[in-house]
Amino acid sequence: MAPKKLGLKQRYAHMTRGLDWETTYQPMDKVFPYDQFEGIKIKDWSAWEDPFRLTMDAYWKFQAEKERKLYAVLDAFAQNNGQTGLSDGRYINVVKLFLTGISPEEYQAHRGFAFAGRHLRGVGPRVAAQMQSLDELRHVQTQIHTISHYNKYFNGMSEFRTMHDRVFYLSVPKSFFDDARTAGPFEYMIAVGFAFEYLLTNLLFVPFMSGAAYNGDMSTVTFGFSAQSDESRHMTLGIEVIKFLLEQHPDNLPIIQGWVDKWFWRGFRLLGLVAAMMDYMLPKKVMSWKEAWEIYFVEAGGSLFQDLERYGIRMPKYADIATEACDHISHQNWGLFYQLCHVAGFHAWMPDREHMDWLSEKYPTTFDKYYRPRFELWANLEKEGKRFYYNGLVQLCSTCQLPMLYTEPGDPTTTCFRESTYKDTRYHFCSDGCKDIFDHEPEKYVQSWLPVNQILQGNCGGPTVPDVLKWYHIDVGVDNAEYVGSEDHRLWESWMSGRVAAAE
Amino acid sequence: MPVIAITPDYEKHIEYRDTVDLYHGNLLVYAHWEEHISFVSAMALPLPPETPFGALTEIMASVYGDHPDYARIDWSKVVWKIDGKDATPDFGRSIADNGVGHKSSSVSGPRPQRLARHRQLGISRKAGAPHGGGGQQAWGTN
Repeated sequence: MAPKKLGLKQRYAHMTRGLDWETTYQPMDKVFPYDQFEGIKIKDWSAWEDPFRLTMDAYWKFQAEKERKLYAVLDAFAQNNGQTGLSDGRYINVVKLFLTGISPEEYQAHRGFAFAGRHLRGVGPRVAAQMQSLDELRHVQTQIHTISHYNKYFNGMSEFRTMHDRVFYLSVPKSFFDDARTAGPFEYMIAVGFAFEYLLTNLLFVPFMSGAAYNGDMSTVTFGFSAQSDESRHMTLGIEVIKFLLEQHPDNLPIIQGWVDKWFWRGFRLLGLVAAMMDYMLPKKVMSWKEAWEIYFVEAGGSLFQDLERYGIRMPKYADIATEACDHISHQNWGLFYQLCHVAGFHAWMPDREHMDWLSEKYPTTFDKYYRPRFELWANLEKEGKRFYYNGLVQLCSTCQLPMLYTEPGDPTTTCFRESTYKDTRYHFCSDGCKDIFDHEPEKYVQSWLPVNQILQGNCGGPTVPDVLKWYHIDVGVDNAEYVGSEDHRLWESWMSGRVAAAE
Repeated sequence: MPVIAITPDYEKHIEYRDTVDLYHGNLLVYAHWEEHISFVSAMALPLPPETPFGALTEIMASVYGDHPDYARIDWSKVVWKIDGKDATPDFGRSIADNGVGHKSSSVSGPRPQRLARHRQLGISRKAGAPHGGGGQQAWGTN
């Protein structure tokens, strides 16, 4: 008699439950030492409802299929010299920012979910976290493979690993994940699973992936597609985690709310870099940062928090401040990139007139009033051969690690300074949001590795700009500074003039 | 608020990464020219405590000197702030004597009274300021 075939549900239960055991040589609390100190109370791990019923064997099968498709497209892209079909050579700086600032965080997310997958006591969330850990590892690998093709032609990519660990603006994403990974497994799940992968993920992936699609970067689009079904699983896990924790015990609510507030603000600061990319670095625009924020945070986030209200969760603290700042941050951060790109691993430039008109249209209350005059002036200085750079070291925020460049809420002409003193040393912050995070756990943030402060302490290769850039693995005059006249620019122009000549 | 950590004696393991002893005898001082926000942020300066306060006017010129108004500042009329409080520093005495400490956001002046509040938010259009990029000047730890 042929053995009976298991039904899907039974099969799923066998493949995902009862895989572990109650230990006897060691108490369970010693086997799972990390899942209590944060104060989160779990009454019943088995109440975890898997948001996606995926078993490991099915997982391998799906992922392998996606890999085959992705690598077929990458091969075709390379064989057809897809790099020459980009909208403009400037676009490639988006890819550099992605490779140095996002891909290494995929790896950090892999490590973080591996940790959560080891240390959560319940088997359901543990399996889910392990799968996400593998997804994240796959993402960093496919991203490196995809972008390696551009590395054959353009500068600023080959040293992405060292740059990520050392260069000043890359400490913004790095410190975000360092902070999450040095927290306990529950905070990590809220920080990365919920705040990053659910609440803010569209604001990261839409700019990069739609940006790629609009700008002829078929290979990045394809890895975006390849990651998409993973991302929807990650989103589902993120929302399931927060609901599960809130349903388990009422004491969890204030802890979770604190994490939601913290990680919303940290995510908002991190995404400010994406905002500048979206508004300034895409030769063909998808939408403005402000529009993306309205759709993905104000509307989608708004209804999410309405849904979470029944658990007692409210909108993240300072969400209103963040929304107001959306009229400013992309312009302010582009100002940062523009005047400090001589010490960065990518190129920046001033937008042309048409681009500025687009910005005026998208930011009718702020761009012409506050930012256009500044940018037109810089563009004029450039024409006179006096390209403006900031020739010093900047003051950094002790929490988000961005330069202290943001302005007071409601007053875009006054720099926002906040300060705390801990054990006789002062610490400075760009905002109330960053100050609150520090004040809650000063013991953690006094250990921050702030890139500028480290230079001044003598830990970054030497005292001069060239010393530090060498230590950053930034090739001076090749990887850094103004786009116009750069090697990348000249290469692009040679491709374009070749195209005209061939057409004649 | 005590840190929530799995290590009960967490505080003993803290590595303080920004205390004054790490700066080789210098103070880390932040100098800011109010309202000139086209410069992305205040300057981070490693200064020996005995630096004469008056020297700041020259030191700050390495960044803010790119603005044409900088050269026109009447320093006798400048309003200074040290750690958020109005101050009347003695230029001949040291920064330490003037109350500037490690990581003072001191000098968050000068607000030039003589000049109109600079609402243009850019380097003035009459700019003729010198510019360089990726220069060789020391960032140094002295």
